[in-house]
Amino acid sequence: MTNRSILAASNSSSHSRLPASRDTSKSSSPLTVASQLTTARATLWDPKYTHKEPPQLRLQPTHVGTLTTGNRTDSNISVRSLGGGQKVDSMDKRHPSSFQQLEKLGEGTYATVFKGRNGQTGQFVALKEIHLDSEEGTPSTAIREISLMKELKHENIVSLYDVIHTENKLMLVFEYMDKDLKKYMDSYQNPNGGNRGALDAPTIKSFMWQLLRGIAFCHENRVLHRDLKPQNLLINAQGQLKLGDFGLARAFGIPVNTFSNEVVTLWYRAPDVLLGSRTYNTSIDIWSAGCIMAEMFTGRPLFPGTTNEDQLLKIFRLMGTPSERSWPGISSFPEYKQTWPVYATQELRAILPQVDSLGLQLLGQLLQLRPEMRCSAQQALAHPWFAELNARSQQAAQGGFTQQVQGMTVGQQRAY
Amino acid sequence: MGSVVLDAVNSFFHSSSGHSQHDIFRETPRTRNQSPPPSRNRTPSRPEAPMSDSAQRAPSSSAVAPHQQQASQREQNAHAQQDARNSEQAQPAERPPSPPLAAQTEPPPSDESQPVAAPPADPRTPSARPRKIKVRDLEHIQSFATEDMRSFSEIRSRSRSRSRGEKDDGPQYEISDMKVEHIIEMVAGLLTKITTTNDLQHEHLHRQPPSIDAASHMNPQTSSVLAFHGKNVPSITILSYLSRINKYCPTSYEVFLSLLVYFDRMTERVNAGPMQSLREANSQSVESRSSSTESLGSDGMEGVTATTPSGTQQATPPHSGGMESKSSRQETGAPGTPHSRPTQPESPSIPPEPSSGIDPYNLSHFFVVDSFNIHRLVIAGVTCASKFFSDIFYTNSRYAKVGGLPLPELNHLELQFLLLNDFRLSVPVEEIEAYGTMLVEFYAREVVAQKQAADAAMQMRSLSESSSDSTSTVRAVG
Repeated sequence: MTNRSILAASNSSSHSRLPASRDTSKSSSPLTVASQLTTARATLWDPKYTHKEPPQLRLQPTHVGTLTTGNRTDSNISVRSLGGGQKVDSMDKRHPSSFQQLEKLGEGTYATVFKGRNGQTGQFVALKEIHLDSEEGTPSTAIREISLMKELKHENIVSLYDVIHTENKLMLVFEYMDKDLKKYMDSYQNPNGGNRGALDAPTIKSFMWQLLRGIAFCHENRVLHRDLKPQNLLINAQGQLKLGDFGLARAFGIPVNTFSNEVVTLWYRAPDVLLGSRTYNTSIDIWSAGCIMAEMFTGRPLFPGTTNEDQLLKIFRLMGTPSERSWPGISSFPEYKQTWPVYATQELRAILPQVDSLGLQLLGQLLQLRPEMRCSAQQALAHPWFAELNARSQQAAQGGFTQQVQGMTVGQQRAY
Repeated sequence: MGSVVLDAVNSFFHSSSGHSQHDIFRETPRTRNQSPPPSRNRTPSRPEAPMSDSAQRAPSSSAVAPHQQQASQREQNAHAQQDARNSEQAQPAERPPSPPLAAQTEPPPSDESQPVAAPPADPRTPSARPRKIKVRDLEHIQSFATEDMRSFSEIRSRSRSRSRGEKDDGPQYEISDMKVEHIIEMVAGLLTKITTTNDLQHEHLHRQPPSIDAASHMNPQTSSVLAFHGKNVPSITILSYLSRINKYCPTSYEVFLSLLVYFDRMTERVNAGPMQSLREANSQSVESRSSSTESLGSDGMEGVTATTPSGTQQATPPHSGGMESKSSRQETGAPGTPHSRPTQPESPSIPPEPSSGIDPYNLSHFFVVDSFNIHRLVIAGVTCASKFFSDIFYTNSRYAKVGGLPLPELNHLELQFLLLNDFRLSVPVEEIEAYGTMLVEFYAREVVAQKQAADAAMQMRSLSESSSDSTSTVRAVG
């Protein structure tokens, strides 16, 4: 039967009932009407047929309040309340406030980031302005970033405070961070000398610890970041490191086959992805973390490849060219070549003499060619290299006060 | 290779002029409202509307060029997948015809007593069911549904329900191996059932697409809801619409499955508050008559049985007109003014229009999935969900073309869809899996059983048609 015939049926029936229902409103009390409406949940979990309970509708409270931006001339921007009867958390109950738009912080492919100031509180924020292209509609990067960051609340992940929209623009209001790791390294004065851009060992350890904590939280919540690189790690004045830019991130867990291998900036892209894998998982982020760790020690990217092929060869030159023997199944990857030059595996120690042996051990576990051999973020955090930080963090958790790690505050900071 | 897809689209539009894009939304005017609201792009007024024009002037060039510049990488992926799918589709009719799914105006056969000619049982289905069943296709569902009719029919006896409930919640159905086409068929079956049920209440909802003037007076949420509400019911069935989207914008199955989750969330988000007020108003009036209080669950519109005493209809609402929630005019929202919330209708700054015919308990702001909005909800939902879930997605101009609406309207709907979901498109794996399992159960009990009932009662069709309305109403209530 077609849709049309259903509609015809219901149409004729309402015709016949119409006069009656108009006259005697008794038959159509709003509550009666409302309770005859149905939804997918009500139909699927019809108690007549099942004892199962539908999953919780864990709807988060939405923002209430109208934010108008001062100092803006192009349009009036306001947050639309979608309260929908949800109880609004008092933390979210902010009075209308305005943002003063300050200097431009950066420009990406789909967004421009400005520094902003909350007119009400005086706090700095980062304003990410996303242009809504007519052909493309809302960029997928924006949809993912907002959807995922609204769920990921962690001290090592940049906080998304608000989404402000107009018909042709979205503005994301983020926690303000002073600089990204790239800029931080560029401007860093190593007290012990060392390479330009290289950080000192305690800072690296703290940053790696925080980075892995952020990654672990993402992975626990079934999110792959897929674009970890120094430019996307943000540092504030307190020495906190937070993951930012979730535009390439995606949820995982449901068996799917639509993973793109065009993810992660080339230099930080895992070998299995370079080989054309579309079934990668959390280990993709671990490889990037390893590359970042090495880069913090040397001040230079570990594998600065120019093309996909060149990137692979740069990796092989250090890690050794894999073979079917060292990596069973490698020959079935789309980008597998029999013509690769055969490099021997080098000692990480030789290239990174400045790293202590425990650190090298951890790095070796992060930078495994075979994805299944790479350690998880959780395992990395349990590595003895972090013993001291873990102990202190445990103490802090017990003591309940903010804790100094290597002279830097590691703790929750509310900037807004 | 990039042109394969668009050529396919073009040929589709050219070959079937009756289904050229805007026609989808043109037919079957059903509004009783004699004064039609101002047009909202419902008519094919697009000057460049290329669909019925000559093939030489194919829109593919205009559609492809800017697109490729911007996102060639992504497109390549998309096309790669699409080529794969096209070749898959090219294989002719491997799959036996599936049971007709769309229309359920007849009552679902809830009787275990009805004799059913069961097809030969699937030998692979073990007698003791495993916790997790990998569903291969629709025929697979049919086979185990007919084999174990009792599992999918109404729970009658308490003893049985207890034994089932305690021991076993039933198996989990894993549908990721099914073809997307099959999953779409189940989704369409469910959505058709929902819209059919809700269409029965359409006349009581008093909805109409907002005029620009009215929209500015409206609660932004209400205007977001009404943005999806068409003046007419599109002629294309939900199944055909979903299939069309899958054909020209193929994507992974969880995009289609997640639509159900999003629609439910939007319903809850929009309706929970008003529903609460409605109940409160009702129970207050009931109390004032010293009648027994309502025992309605707190779960809003989740198929709650109406136990309303018939006397409550004349109750005076405590917040007369407040239900309209028209207090938050965006532009005039002065600093310091608390935003209106549908839960607690405060004194509206703009009084509701005094319209004599309007029910004081206005339901027009309810979010109700019905035949008037389902197509727009689907295309906007697929657009958003594809961008969120899949690394393969398309430009909105393509989704608009496939969905049969003007690009500016789709862009608007996309944003409204995101707003009504609070920009939260994440769906926990467990939730998606639960919907998948229940969708299989739904398909098994409703559709398969229905097909059998239809087969059995072929000669009684006229009878069942005449009684279809009342019975389906009863079902929705019960």
